[in-house]
Amino acid sequence: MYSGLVLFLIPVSIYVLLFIYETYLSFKKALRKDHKRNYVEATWEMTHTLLIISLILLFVFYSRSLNELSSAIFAPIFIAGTLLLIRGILYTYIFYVVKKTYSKYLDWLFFFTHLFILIFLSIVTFKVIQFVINSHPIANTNFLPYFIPGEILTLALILGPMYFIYRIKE
Amino acid sequence: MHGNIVNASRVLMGDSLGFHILILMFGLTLPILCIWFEYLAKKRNDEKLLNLAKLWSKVMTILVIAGVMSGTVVALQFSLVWPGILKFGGQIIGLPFLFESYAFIIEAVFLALYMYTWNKEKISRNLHMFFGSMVVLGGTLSAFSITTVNAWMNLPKGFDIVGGKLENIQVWKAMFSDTAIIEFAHSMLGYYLAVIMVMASIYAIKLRKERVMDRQRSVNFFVVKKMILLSGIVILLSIITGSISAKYLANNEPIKLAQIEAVTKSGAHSSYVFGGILDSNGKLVGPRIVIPNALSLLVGESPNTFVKGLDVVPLSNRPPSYIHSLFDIKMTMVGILSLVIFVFIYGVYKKSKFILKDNYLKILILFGFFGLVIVELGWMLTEIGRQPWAINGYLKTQDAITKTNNITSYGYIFPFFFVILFVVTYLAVRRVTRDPKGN
Repeated sequence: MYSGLVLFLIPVSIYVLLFIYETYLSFKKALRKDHKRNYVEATWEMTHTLLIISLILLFVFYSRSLNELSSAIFAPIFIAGTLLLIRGILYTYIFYVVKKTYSKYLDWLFFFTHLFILIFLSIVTFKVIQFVINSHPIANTNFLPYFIPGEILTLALILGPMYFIYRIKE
Repeated sequence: MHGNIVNASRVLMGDSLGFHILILMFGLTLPILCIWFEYLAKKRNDEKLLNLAKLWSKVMTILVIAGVMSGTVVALQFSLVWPGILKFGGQIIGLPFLFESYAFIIEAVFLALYMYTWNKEKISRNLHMFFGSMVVLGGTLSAFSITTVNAWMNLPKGFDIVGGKLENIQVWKAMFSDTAIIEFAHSMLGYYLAVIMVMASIYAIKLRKERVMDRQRSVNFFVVKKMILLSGIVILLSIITGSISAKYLANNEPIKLAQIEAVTKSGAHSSYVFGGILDSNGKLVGPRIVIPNALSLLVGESPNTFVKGLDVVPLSNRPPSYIHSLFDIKMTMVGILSLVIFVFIYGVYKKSKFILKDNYLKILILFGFFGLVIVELGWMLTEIGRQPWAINGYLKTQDAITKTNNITSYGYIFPFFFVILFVVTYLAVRRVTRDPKGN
């Protein structure tokens, strides 16, 4: 029952931690008076893969209770999804479209999308924990024999490159 | 009322997928083009070709960022709006979702590595191209995984239903079916063709801005030539996979084929029908071209091949009749695109100058974008053609939708933001491509 929960909590917790740091960076950027692009690099976009993985694991492992689970988390996850889209739009606009100067309101808006994503994702996580504890859903453990070797192989493939990217990043 | 919610939710999912597919086909094809041009640059020691590969990789990065966002929303919609699909099939077809997440990580990490090591002296060109190959591998595995889920929804396998419960679940059999491989091959070739032709069109636009006498030696002409020669190979392969798909449909999804090809009566000597409209009673009306025996020949290599028609299912269990017209539009576009491609290849072979002239380039620019529409129409035919089923033969679409929330209230926020994301992504791509240094 709890195996699915653990598999969801590990990547989502790492994501939230990294996203807290990203939120701090966006806050710092909003406080700056100039428009230097001193913040997000492409490497940070890699962290979003963790969120997608968390959601996939959650939905695949608790697929048999998806009706109940989806109604428990529907509102906060839809809001978080919408905010993620807005964040993506702002990210692309601020870092790839605008040239030199732009309204600082955009930086603040960018920061607030981060902040609210964090809040709503935390609500989703707590609601998932609450749902699993109260409803005792059956997890699809038949995937575990494939999931674990797959994860080890993937980590073996990416850990070296990831270390390399962060080491050489300017 | 429930019917309205089902239709609204289908439109919503269709919008999101339509946008996501546009982005993902570039994400799947551009890495291949980047590696190819990087290789050509190395072989010819040509800085211009290397700069092109760099530029395309930057565009690719912007599109991946947009794709991550739209992909997250699609994943959310699929699970939350249609929980019935995973509730029924999650135990059987969950494996490709897990594989997709692994493939996605590999793609994302190696994309970052590929981008960060363009100008690193310690990284050899071959190693850099290897990083790019891993992006291709990750993207391709990711696309394969998701396509297997769709193939399974079209033809569910790998389980039995005993006493109303799922038994004998075989996750590998469900994932690696013949259907999945055919669907994957055909859709990938469609993506490649669409993006290659868009690239050819974009560089044809650039070529038109040059003087006619300079065009022959222009790097823009080099790109157009390479893209169209490649598209010639891809379109031939697509025709092969398309005909295999038709055979597969005849054997496994006969009603979808019957509706697409407007086969109103079952029997041998089935004709290929182009044109006409299926009315609300399932009768074919209006002007049309009929090629006798052609459909039987296509699906069974003999005019005696029996083809199931729409008469074997009641009207309520048939897909919407307009998919026949969608298929006609798709095939017309495929025909025009093929003609444009092969005329160009003929021109290159004969060393003719007409392919450098404004009139031909205008045609190329106009029809080059057809590929994008062809891919979208292909997916519409696959999805709408399966209706009224979400999981063919097991779960109806109306039963797969969430029972607890009114999706129409929330969901229409997404198409609105997709439009904005599309505009911003376009502006970002335009900015990168107009900056000579690509900063």
